[in-house]
Amino acid sequence: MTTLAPPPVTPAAPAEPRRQGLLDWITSTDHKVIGKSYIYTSFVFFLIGGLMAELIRTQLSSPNNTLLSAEAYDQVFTVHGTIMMFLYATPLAFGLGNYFVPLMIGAPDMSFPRLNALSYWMYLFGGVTVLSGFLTAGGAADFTWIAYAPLSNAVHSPGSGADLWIIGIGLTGIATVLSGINIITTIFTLRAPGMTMFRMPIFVWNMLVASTLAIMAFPVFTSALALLFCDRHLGTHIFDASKGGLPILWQNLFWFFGHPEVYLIVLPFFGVATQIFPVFSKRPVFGYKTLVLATLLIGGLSVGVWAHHFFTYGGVLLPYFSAMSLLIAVPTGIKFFNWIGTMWGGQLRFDTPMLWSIGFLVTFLLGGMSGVILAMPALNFDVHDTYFVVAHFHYVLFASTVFVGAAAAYYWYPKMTGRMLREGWGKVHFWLTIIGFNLTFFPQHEIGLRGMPRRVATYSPDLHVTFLNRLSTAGAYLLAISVLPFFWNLWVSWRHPIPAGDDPWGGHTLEWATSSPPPAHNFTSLPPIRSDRPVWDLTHPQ
Amino acid sequence: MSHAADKQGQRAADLWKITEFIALAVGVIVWGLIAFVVIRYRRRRDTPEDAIPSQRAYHVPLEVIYTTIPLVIVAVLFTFTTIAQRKIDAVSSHPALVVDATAFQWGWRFAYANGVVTVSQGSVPPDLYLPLGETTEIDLTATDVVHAFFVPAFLFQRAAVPGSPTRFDLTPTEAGVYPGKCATFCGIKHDQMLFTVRVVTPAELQTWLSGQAPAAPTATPAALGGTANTATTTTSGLP
Repeated sequence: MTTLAPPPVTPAAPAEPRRQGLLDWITSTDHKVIGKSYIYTSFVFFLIGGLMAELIRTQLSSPNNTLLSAEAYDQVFTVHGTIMMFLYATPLAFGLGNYFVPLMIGAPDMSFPRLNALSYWMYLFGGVTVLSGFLTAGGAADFTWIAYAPLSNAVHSPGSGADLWIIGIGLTGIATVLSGINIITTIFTLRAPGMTMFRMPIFVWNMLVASTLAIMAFPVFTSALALLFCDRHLGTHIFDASKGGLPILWQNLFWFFGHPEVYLIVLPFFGVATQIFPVFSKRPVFGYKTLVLATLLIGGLSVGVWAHHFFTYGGVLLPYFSAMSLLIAVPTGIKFFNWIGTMWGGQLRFDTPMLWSIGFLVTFLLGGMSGVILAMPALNFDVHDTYFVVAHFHYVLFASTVFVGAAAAYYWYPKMTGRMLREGWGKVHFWLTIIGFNLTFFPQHEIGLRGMPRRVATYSPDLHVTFLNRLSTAGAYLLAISVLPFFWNLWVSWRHPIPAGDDPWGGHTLEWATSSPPPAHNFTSLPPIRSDRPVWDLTHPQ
Repeated sequence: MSHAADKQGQRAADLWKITEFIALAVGVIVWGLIAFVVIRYRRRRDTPEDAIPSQRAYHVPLEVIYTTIPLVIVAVLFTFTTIAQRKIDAVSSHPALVVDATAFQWGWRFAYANGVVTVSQGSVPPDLYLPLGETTEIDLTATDVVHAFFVPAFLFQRAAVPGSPTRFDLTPTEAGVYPGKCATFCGIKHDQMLFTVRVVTPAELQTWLSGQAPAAPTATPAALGGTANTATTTTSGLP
């Protein structure tokens, strides 16, 4: 394939300075426009979900608090979880994939541009449909984001908010499947000459595995939602034990989707971090092939661990699901050592993308260790469905989607807009976030160990968790404040632009071989692709 | 959690100690490595702009080692948790007492073999009496949605799933009063779904059991009301 590579050429011509109208924007099938739509929309949902988190923490700042009624509290935490999983984390990952996969493999667009636009609009309408539940008489869905049957059936959750939840989440699920198909096809068919599979950036590999998980897992969930809808409206009793149905069937179907879902969220962000560490260390990725292998292993194992979400049910084949869950720690450990190995011996620059990525390493490790604890049934019996689990998955998911999400924002904002963000405000943003995050979630481990179940609207002072909950709430307020420097940064960069140039960070991969922002069809020419970092090869001829 | 008030929970408590030690060791090593590379390999002010550090991208023996070490750690943890979990889940063929526990929105009902029943009275949690040092069989089920029987002092919970009854044993080792609660979200009064575990000597348990009026065997569940103190009251909440 290398013989097909075109000769080295000058950087691409700058984009036409054409102003895009709203009509151009909403009718666009350009992967970059759709990618940005995904990213911006998911950020708006993140702010809404974050506001709900602040309500939750305010309610829990005192025992027996009555700020929110139990009904309101249940709706708020249900929609908080739903937003963060389905309307923030997943679409942010796929938005980044949408924008950067074609650029990184030297393609002009996605394989199916119109399908891509359809996916975005289904996601947006699905998200709005879920939120519209708050406008119905009974309020939004209030049966948790995992919607356990039979609590989610028509007898126990009669409101139309629950139906809007099912339909809205169903739509976003189909959107994710279509996106997954699109990304897989793009990676397999549109790679530039010379871009063999083992020269693809790790981010592209991770999007490939995440997309594969999406097309395996989401159809199962969509089917389960359809069955739940039948139970609610068509008189079936699939999940209704009183008529011979099986509540445990929902749990199995849900988590057969739900656990791969977690990995389809974290893998793209692992990929982003793997792009950033080499650039800011002036090093290649250490152990490229073991990283790819680790990603494939994580993807493979993640479809075989679902029952660890209900170890406490009795009748679960505990040793099997425990072993599979514990094994995931091995490829994850490999990734950690590869990341450290990438930095080892390098020249580390602590610009904002690197700072956020190191913050991710430090916080994610704790989430990984509490995950190993939860994978052990004997300990899981103690802490399942307590705040220990809440702490665990926020360490995992916040570390990947928010820390690496921010790293991606600081790293790629110059590419997407042609302007730099201010480093100083980015560092203020980082330090406020990492302090606020740990203050919020570290005490929740101990809150859980003291026996406070999750999803309770109030707690008793006798539980001796009041002080710890106040610490956690104070941390949550600090997290709310931490967003302000980011807004200010966006504003300043908009009003007083500092031009980014094509490659402000000394990047390694193809997105840095075109203009910022890239022109309509991405590249006017490509550098030769002879390794997994063609732009480095171009700028460091040996 | 280094201490439990029952025999089964103590298995988990011992496992916690081992696991916390291993986790701490892993944390010290990995956080230490991160701190080391960040400090040792930071770019110095006097580094020339065109200086290029080592570009080594592979070290196969090292990669094999750092694949093997996590594998060994999880194998050790798997062995420990499987041994502990088998002992926690083991059930006796000769339990000293059998209690039928039923979870419902939003309360608990505990029925003893001789017909004595305690059940939630509005927001008053019912008592679950257990004999000290003897094994009690709990047969757990739910009538409406999924709940979970959770006693933090025993380091244990078990889900109560409608249509899927389940059994576990508790062998308390310390007399006392321990709060119990529902751990799995079950609707708007989830946080109020409490019960109280009272661990007493076998003799005290017999005294208490014989002091209670057995419920009529033909009565509907709703009429089976009766708490530790008032055996004649009725309750709402059961279908």
